[in-house]
Amino acid sequence: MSEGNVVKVGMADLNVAKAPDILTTLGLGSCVGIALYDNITKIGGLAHIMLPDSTQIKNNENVAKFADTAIEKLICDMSIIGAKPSRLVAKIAGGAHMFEFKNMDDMMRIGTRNVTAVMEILKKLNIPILANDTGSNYGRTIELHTDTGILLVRTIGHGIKEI
Amino acid sequence: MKERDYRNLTNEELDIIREAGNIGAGNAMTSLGKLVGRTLDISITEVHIEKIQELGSVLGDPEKYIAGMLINVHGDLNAMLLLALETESAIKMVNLILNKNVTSVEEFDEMDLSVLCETGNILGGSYVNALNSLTGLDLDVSIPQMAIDMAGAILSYPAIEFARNDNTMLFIETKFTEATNILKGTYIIILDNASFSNIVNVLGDWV
Repeated sequence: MSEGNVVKVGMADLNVAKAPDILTTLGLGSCVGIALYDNITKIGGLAHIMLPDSTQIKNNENVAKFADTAIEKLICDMSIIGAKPSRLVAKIAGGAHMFEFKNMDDMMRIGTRNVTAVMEILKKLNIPILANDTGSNYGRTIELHTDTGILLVRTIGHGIKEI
Repeated sequence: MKERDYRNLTNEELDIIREAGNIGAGNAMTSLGKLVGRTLDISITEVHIEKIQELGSVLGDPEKYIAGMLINVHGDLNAMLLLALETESAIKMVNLILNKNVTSVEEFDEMDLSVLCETGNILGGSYVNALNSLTGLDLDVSIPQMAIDMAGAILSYPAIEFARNDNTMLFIETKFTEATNILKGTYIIILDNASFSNIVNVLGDWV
């Protein structure tokens, strides 16, 4: 594997990169990391969203904070550097339930709602989800390797996997 | 009631809010000192105003392995109180309280975890009680929840809660340590703007 630059994506943030760069986001909890990839141009994009839906929030100018607007922006930014939207595939991770507060039922949990929203939006855009490592109750760090399209998921105490 | 906005924080407001955090954390540390039989020192309390997305890094590396005990505060304040301990300190705390010799987080049994969580409960109660005595505000607290994981993942929970309505947040941070420097941690209370206004309006007359 050739040595690329590591591009960090923060919370409510997104970025794009070309091979051999690596896109990473650290310590995903209930947020969801969305990795999009074009296998022909080896262009990748990574978003770290916090909330499912920008239309339900007044203060929504940060597009990377919400699943709907972040995915749109990510596709747009990837196409600017040469990716073809119709070739994009997705891998997603995160959406954990870090705390189990008693007054919450499963459907109300933000991790679950984030994952559901991301899956619905990707489906609407005809972007296939090749892999999914979501839910449960632990944090994840992810790395999108743009030379291969592999998404590496690291955890503390729950192993490392390539998806 | 005067309209206040922490994004235009005055020096007077900063002093008030810092003192509130100081008194809360001071009271919590007195409780912890009694539990572990050690004296704890608290650092200068700092008030931070950050973008929500910076919250994942406020304890340092978002991948740092920590034990986080989180309490929701409702009523006249909408706040979250987080006690964050590096895992070595969580181990030390369990060993001091239960007189054990646990060496890693993986060795924690249910009793150890429950003692940690209960410690978070007692300390959080002390913090909130001090705030309540100081301000007279009506405060309800949730049962504490604990997670031992990456700092960024733990902090995503309060970050998401506050991200719904704001792009920035105000938090009050107090670090504490014990003489041997093995037991140390951070108390953070995150407030929304209405909560900030409530505290400052109640305490502002004193200054």
